[in-house]
Amino acid sequence: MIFGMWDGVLFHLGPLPVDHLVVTEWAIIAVLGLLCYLGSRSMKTIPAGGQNILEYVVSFTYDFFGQVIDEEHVAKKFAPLLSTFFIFIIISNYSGLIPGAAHIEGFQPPTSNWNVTVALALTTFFAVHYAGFSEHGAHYLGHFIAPNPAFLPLNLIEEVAHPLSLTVRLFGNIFGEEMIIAYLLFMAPFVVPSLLMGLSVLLGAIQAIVFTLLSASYINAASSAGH
Amino acid sequence: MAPKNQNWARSLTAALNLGTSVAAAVAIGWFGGQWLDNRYGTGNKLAIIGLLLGVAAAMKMLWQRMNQDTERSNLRKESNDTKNKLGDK
Repeated sequence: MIFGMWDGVLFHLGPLPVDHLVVTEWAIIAVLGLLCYLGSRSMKTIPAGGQNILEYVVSFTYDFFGQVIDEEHVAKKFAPLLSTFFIFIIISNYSGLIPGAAHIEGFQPPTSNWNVTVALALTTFFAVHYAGFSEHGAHYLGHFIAPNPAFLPLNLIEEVAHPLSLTVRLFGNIFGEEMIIAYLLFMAPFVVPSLLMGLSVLLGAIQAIVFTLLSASYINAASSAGH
Repeated sequence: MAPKNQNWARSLTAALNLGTSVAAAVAIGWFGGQWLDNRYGTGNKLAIIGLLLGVAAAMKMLWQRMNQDTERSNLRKESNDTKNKLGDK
């Protein structure tokens, strides 16, 4: 294993290798899809049970992350993406809380692999520039040479630094956390790892919030009137 | 939409983001320059230029962050002053 990448390929889908992490991601997507289907198959005006929980989760994430974006129509447009980021990342982070998960290939949290965090950060990168171009058209290109054209290289470095920092932060935190828990499980199997796993619950949520809030603030910066 | 109840999350995010963004900018400059040096056989000139640009980009991010925080704190101060004035009346 090199930097969180398992080399065990389960099978190929055409030219694409499918490993345990991809299967774990599919399982997370399937579980979330199933929960959404079960909670929304018989929608009622006064929600109860699963529909109630789903509505709470959706309204909480829409409000929490949407408030970062100043323009209401932009917030409405990107709230589904931001909510999906948050829910997917938090479930992925928590999937590693099964004891010894880092040593079982099928249970490794997808966010402890930088291929996954790069994909998430690239989605943010494209969403940010989509927001910029859809709000300002070709004028959006002007922000690359603001305050004057001499700043072009600095602005370009900054644009690439954002997704890179999103990638490294999420991957580093979750991968490091998994490795520490795995080694502690090996050295002191009972009390110590459980204390750290308690901390992981908090860190997993914080990392999901940080990734999503930063994505929201980058989208806000690209779409705001300042550009 | 105006921010309402996630100030703690915004502050935490800003604090966590600044360190990694600054490091990422410097790393991009250095490794980007190294890559160009290897491609064009220019010794380590472009790596050094890249490093300097990365540091400059990091300084720009810090400067922007500082300005945003100052602006926010001034707005908060103005709003508190207005509240106090209204309270006195």
